[in-house]
Amino acid sequence: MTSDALQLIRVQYEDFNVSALYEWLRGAEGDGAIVTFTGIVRDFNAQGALTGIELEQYAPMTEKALEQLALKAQQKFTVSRTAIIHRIGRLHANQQIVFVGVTSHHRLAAFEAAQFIMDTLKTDVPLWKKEWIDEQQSQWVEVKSSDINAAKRWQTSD
Amino acid sequence: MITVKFFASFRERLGKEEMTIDANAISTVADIVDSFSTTLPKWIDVVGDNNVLCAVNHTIVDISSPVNDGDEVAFFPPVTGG
Repeated sequence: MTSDALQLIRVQYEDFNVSALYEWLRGAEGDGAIVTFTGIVRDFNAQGALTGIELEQYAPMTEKALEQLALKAQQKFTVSRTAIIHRIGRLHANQQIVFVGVTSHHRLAAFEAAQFIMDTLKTDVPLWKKEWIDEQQSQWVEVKSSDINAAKRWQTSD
Repeated sequence: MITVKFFASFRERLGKEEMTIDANAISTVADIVDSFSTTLPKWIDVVGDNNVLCAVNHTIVDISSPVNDGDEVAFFPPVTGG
């Protein structure tokens, strides 16, 4: 992790280390707030139990879209460091799937930027989730209207 | 030539990740979609009621956007990451 970069963006199969990411965020000089979010694979959906999920990306567009999203957050909320890590491939219940971390002078900008990144990621970044019910049966996840509405609320303040 | 890619449920249901099409007679994304009626007869069934997102050279665009020889065009369902 380069210490003077403002963005840390990765799309990867491997797990990530939250402590290492947090330490990178702490390197942002002069910032008084760090907000981080970690998404974890659930073991259920609205229909019942799941054994895991699978994520597909569009390389290299996914990473490019995440870089643009981080840049947008930096401009909109005056955050300095932004880390977005998203895993792809087959993941089991309770594993880490996504990490978002931002730093800013004050907490409000950091909270808002983290939420903006997660909400927008869910509607604008080319990643698709498939849920595995057991070893044989799977289904692609449908878009939730609550996710679309969550992303929309940021558009009004552009 | 134009490279056309499909992702997620579209890729699976079409049984196709990628195809190339002749750039002659193609000037917009809409022209590519029209050409599917002969080159990809399953397209209409596969898309069904889904919204279709399209990207040209890794940027999301709308259906009236221009497409040039050598471009990479991708079609995919609404995204569900996070």
